Amino acid sequence: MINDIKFVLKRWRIVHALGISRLRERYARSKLGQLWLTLSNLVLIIVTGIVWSVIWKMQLDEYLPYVGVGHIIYLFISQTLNESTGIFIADARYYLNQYMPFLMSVFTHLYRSTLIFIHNIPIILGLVIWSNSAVVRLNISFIFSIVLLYIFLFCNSYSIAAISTRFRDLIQIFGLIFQLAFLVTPVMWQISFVPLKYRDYFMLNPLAAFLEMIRNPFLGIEILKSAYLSAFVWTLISILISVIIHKKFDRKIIFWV
Amino acid sequence: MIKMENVHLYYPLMGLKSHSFQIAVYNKLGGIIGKKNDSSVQYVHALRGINLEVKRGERLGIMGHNGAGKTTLLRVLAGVYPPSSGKVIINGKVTALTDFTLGMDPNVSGLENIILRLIFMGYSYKEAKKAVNDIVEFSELGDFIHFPVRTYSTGMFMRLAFAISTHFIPEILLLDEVVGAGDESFRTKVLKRIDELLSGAKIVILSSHDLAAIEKYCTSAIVMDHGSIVFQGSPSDAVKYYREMCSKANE
Repeated sequence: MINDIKFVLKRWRIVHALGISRLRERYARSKLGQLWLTLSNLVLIIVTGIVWSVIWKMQLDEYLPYVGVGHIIYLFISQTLNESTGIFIADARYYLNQYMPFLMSVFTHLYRSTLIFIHNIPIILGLVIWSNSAVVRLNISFIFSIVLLYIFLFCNSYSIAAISTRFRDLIQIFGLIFQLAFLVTPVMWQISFVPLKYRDYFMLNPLAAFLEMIRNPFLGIEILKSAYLSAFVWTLISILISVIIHKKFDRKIIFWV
Repeated sequence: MIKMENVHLYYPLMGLKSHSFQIAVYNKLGGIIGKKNDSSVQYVHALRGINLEVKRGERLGIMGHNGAGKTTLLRVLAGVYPPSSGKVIINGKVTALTDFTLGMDPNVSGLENIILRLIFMGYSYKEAKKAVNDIVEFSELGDFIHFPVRTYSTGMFMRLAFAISTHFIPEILLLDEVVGAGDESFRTKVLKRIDELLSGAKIVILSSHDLAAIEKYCTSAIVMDHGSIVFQGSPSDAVKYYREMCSKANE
């Protein structure tokens, strides 16, 4: 696996070219181009922010940045994982005509997801500046969270891509899982709404743990200790699973695509 | 140098019944909760005991019917398929030109596509930028080079893809059919370029149905049938053997 990572990093230009070209494909010939990424999210956030702040009886000043920043980060995590189901199949033509490790697709996928995320950073900044109640507290543990998240996403994207290439109906099943995950992840609601004794159980969900760790520093909300523990353990498990899949099945994927 | 020793390849046939997770689980549990469904993965024995040695300066032609294993053999040499058993030793950098358009993006201009395609073939931005002028000139696309590739005709697109893919001479070249692109006037240029490419590369493996091309370009040839090499020798002998094989099959 290490050798494959080195192979891809040496050919970072391909990752860059492919990542950009995927993004371009989606927005080619539309006038606003990639700006649609930002705009559609902004509209979604403002509408849900207004409606749900009324439902929860919360101040818009407090709720809008919460739901806005949360949405953007949650979408980044869940879409990166969910869309990884098809990455090997989409790149099949490359793999059939030229030797490349399958990690090439994983790097490209992560790179593209990151680019999409970067388009949304202005929204995060805008919300945090606009709101009076949001206090940004970015520190060293935030960087640790980001690094951990990327390792988590990298390993799981690979594993999910590999097994969904072998078993095609898993693509649908993963879609369903991530739809359900939205309900048990504190995006629309806050973990503080949950009775104290149950809060830690919600952190068993890795998406919830990572969301807390990345979102809360922007808003000045405390992070549960259990979130760190959960994220750390899930990352270790993910590394283990991806290494095993890579070792046992990587050379077989080419026959599955 | 390329060396293959007793290489076998079993190719699993996916997508018949075996791509489904439910069925896989059901089969594993089959003995416990019900009748075991006989839908295990089926394999094609795509390469059977291939022994092959290609030395520096050799140009090897591969002939055979559709499904004889020519493309599979090329893919094993390209490192795409791992052999199921046996040994493959390759000294040198392999460039497979089985798809000339790999890495190109129809939404951007011809100029940008030159860079994209070369990056994909493993060259740096610097090398790619240096090559642009020559490629533009060779492709004869004129002002079209600034337009998105999706506006090109098929012929223009192939001309550009050919001009890019054959610009650098690779060390070990794997070629699936000698491609001819473009109209009459362009074809002479293409043939000249192919001559340069094939004589410049240190090793060439050419799989083709065009027997004349094999006789013209290759220094040795093999005939494949049902995944094994049935004849190995000089191109003219191999072509003769292949013709006899075809006429026998027709009778």
